[in-house]
Amino acid sequence: MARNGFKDRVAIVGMGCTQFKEHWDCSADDLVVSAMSECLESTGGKVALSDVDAFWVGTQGSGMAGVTVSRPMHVSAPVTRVENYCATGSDSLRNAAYAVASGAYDIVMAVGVEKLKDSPYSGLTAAWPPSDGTKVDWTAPASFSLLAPAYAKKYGLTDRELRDVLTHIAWKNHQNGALNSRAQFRKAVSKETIEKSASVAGPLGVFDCSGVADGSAAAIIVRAEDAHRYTDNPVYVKALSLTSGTGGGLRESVQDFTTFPEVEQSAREAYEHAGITDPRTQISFAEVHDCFTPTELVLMEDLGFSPRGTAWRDVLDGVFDLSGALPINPDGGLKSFGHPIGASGLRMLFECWLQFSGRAGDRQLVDPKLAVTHNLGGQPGECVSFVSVVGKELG
Amino acid sequence: MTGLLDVSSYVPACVLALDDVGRVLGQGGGRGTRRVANYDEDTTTMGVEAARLLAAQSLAAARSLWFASTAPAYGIKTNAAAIHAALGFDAGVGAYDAGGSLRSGLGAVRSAWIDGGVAVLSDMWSGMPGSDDERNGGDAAVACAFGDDDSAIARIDSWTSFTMELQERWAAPGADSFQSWDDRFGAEAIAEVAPAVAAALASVTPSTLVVSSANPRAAAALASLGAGAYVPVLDGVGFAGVADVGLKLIAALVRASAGQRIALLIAGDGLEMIVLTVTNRIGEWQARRSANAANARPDVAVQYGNYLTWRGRLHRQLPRRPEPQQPAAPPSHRNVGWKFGLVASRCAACGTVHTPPEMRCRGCGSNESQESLPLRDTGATVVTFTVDNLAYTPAPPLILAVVDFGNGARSSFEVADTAAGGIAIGDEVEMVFRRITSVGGVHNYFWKVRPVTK
Repeated sequence: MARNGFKDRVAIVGMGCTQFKEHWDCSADDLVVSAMSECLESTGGKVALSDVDAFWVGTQGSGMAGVTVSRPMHVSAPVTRVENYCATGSDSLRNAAYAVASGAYDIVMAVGVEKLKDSPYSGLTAAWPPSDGTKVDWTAPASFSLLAPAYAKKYGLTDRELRDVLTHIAWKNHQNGALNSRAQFRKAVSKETIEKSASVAGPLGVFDCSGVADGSAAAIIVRAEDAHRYTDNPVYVKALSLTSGTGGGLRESVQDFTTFPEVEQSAREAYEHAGITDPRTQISFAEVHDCFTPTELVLMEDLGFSPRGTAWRDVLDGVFDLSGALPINPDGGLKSFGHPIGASGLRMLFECWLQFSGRAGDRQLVDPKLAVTHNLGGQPGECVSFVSVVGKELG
Repeated sequence: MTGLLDVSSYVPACVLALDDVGRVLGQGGGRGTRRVANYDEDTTTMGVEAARLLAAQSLAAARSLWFASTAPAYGIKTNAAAIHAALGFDAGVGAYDAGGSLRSGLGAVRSAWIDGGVAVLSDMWSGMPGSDDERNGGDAAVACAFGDDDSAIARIDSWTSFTMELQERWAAPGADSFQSWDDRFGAEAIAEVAPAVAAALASVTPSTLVVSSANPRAAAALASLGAGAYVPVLDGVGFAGVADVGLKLIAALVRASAGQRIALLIAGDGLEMIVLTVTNRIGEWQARRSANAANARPDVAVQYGNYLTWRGRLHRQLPRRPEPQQPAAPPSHRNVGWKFGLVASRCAACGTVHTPPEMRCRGCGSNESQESLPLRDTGATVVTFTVDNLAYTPAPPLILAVVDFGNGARSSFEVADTAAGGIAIGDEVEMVFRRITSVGGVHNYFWKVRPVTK
């Protein structure tokens, strides 16, 4: 078995991203057309729709099959629909990138879309196959809420400390999102408001949870050596890694809910392929899957940014703030963007695209060179994890 | 004929204070309490819980299973078959439902007595909101096992019927409650057979007289025929339909001694009189019963508004979450062992336990080696839990727990009969059979966990 990397084989040369919000006036088709049009325009006319050889579209439930893209865009082309829980958008990019790397295509697009607000429900929902009815129907906040008390117990945090850590994560991401015109929530939120928000599940309040939004994002991928034919600011793909877990965390008396083994594995593989040995110092910033505040806490350790049991101190010390040593979710994260499932992974890359080319406005970091995106689907104990490393430069 | 080997009961933890009925309705209600099935219980789940308390050897020897209720969860489909599956009975044990009338319980018992089987009598006696029947009623289940006469705790000496066509309590099939004639009329009608009953009782001289009637006037009149015999009264449960006589029989057996006679008078479309003699095995049964009683669970207070909602009499705003899916018939049948009996699988080669059973062993990768391992009577420990305020449930908040079975296997379950704050990491839990959801007339039966009272 050899999981060979493909560092610097492909690059992103165009991107588009709709605002993420309750788009009452837009269908999934409209969102796809908006994101893909912006994406093509971002190449300054160097890539036309007819130049694109093949498409991958990630959606969890807002469309079936490749026609999710080919019908609204009026193209007749190879289009693959991808679904991989909440990592759907990232996996559409991953498969598109492999197709270019294989030499099968010169120019491909990865698209992600989700239209959630045509349903009346709170939180995310899914259409499951018929079943025997014996599986616990966890809501997302309930399943992720298991992380917080487990982490606090293992590392000796008091309730007060735990609350401060979770509050800081939400506060930080809303601070960042307030600086982002594409975010769903564009206001800073006080720590008091976060702390006093209505209970959702376990220790999680409303402000510990990401929102529900509609949105779409898209990327054009070409061979790295062709990148400068289309843009002066390509994003080079250093590594793409995906781990789908065994589900053992919910079936075997092993996991203690303070880690996602799937994330650890995918991060290890991505870093190996990208040549990262010390992510905390080598990575300029990261976009991570902050679906709930304790998720971001645990991810800091699973992604190797903090040693085990210390991420909570780093959070409180501001290490992951926009002005900190390792900014996490400079665009505001799922917390500010909401989570249109198929689009979120590509939205994370869109921030890398902006940051590397100095177009992140008030959130602009100083000369970022390497970034990580992390996208998670499922629940603690049974999940899929995606990690990418992308860079501004070759090598 | 067989003898009575064992009898057990299940009384739900939920308690309805009757003054709350008066407060909500502005009339009726009363003092005291009655027992009500929780939102996730029905006559089938309560029947399972009662039968699970029967001694293992009584269950193992059962030749047939007879279920009776005036409030069956299903028509056409045999409810006894679900109980049969939850008890892990062999396919060769027959399972039958008896009608839907108050007398059907006696039919079930008589059949089990003749055949050497188990009778499960389970009922939810609701009545219309504000009615006497609602106030006097209760929800509960009993199970009684018949078999080898030599092992019996009591023998049935005689069974006498006084059958009578009588329009006292009745319901159209499918109706959500029943109607009744004036209870004075019902009491008068029963009085027609009182002399014959009194004469029979005089020859038996029972030490205990068990009287079961939905009609309080008739019950009082029948109790007076006992000539000084002890008449058990249930405190705070209410008249639990077909199960009522069983609950009172247990109350009689708890204080009975060998050689004593117990007479049962069960009213409903006439009267049945059953006379039993207690054997010298009663002491063992009493010891086991008091051991079980030591594990009594804490009561759960239920507000009348919630009770009405659970029974479909009050339609309230639903959560903004999708309605749960109906369980599908083919996977439910394929996985009947896990779903109804909580039967896991264990790899014969490496011992890895799978919850639910899996084809491919998680330990050694074999596809050929799985054998059955029932977990329903295995204790488990809470690894972690959460209180979910978002989930779709008739009784928010939903509490969910991840539990370890102590054999390497882990699974997730809803937590039953427990308020937020009533469970902690490390708690021991036991398995209970419940109705997870009921969607479009399909009941989703599966197991939940409940903290073990220490």
